[in-house]
Amino acid sequence: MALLRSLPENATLADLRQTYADLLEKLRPYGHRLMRGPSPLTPGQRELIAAFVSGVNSCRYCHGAHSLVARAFGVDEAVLAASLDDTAVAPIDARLKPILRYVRKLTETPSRMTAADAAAVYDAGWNDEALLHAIAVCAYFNNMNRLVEGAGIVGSAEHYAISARRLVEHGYLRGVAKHKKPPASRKPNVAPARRRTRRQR
Amino acid sequence: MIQRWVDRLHRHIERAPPQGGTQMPFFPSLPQDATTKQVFTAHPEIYSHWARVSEAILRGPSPLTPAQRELIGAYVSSLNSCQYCYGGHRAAAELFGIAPETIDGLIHDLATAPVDSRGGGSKKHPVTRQP
Repeated sequence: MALLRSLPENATLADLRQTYADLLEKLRPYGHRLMRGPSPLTPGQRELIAAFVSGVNSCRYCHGAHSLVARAFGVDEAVLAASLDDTAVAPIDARLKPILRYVRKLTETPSRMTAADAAAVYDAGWNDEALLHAIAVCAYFNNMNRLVEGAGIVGSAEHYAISARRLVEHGYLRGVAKHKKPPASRKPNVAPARRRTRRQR
Repeated sequence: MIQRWVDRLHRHIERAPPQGGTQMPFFPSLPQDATTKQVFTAHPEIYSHWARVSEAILRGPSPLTPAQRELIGAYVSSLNSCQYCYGGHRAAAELFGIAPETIDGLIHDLATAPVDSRGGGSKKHPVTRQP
């Protein structure tokens, strides 16, 4: 049940975004750039980290939605569940294991990261840009998990599916309201955000 | 814009360096004494957008004053034992007029701290530790 009195009882993240648009709309270009923009990590790997971190935080809404998005990008839900259960034995790409261990520890005990944790990521063949992107995705979902749980948003399997479909089809820039425009009239999602960045620098 | 934001943040941080010794960053491409300033400016493709998020959350229109928001920033950072963010946002809260003893009191014991009880941290505690 929603903990903010301005939200309907069975509020979704879309309700929260609409009610507090001034504050929360700024997250969209950042989230889109982070999750769909250029990165050493594929969108599927980033969605896996998103679902994984949300699972570590037991955030049902984010974990539910991003598990479905990750599946659409080719990540098996059983593999995600096994990674959350025990990353060491999960049947997942060995290169991803030190990254998942890193973001789990960063979520649970953020001040205890060590050079050895980072070295395990580098030893798997990643560079520090890849590690930074993994950290930024982890941080973003810790933020979203707390927005959702702090506002008391629970959602349902139906909500998770609607959110996931929007994230797969349109990325992070578009809200539900603009969802009904025909695809032909849409500009590429990432363009407006880039233009703004240049002008403001 | 990002440069202005980063510069302002770091003016705060330089006035109150984190306690307890600084740690080497884990990124080989950054200098050993790197701060968030280097991380942000080395990766503008990510952090230029984040500057706008931070600005809206911490300085934009809100029922909470910037001082109250910086106090929450310092308090949450202390719950996470993040010396760097705690040092920077504690200094920022003090610059906005929060008394040092108020922050010390919060860190020591939320229940008896000399802070406006309307700002009461009873909600901040669980959302950081058990989201």
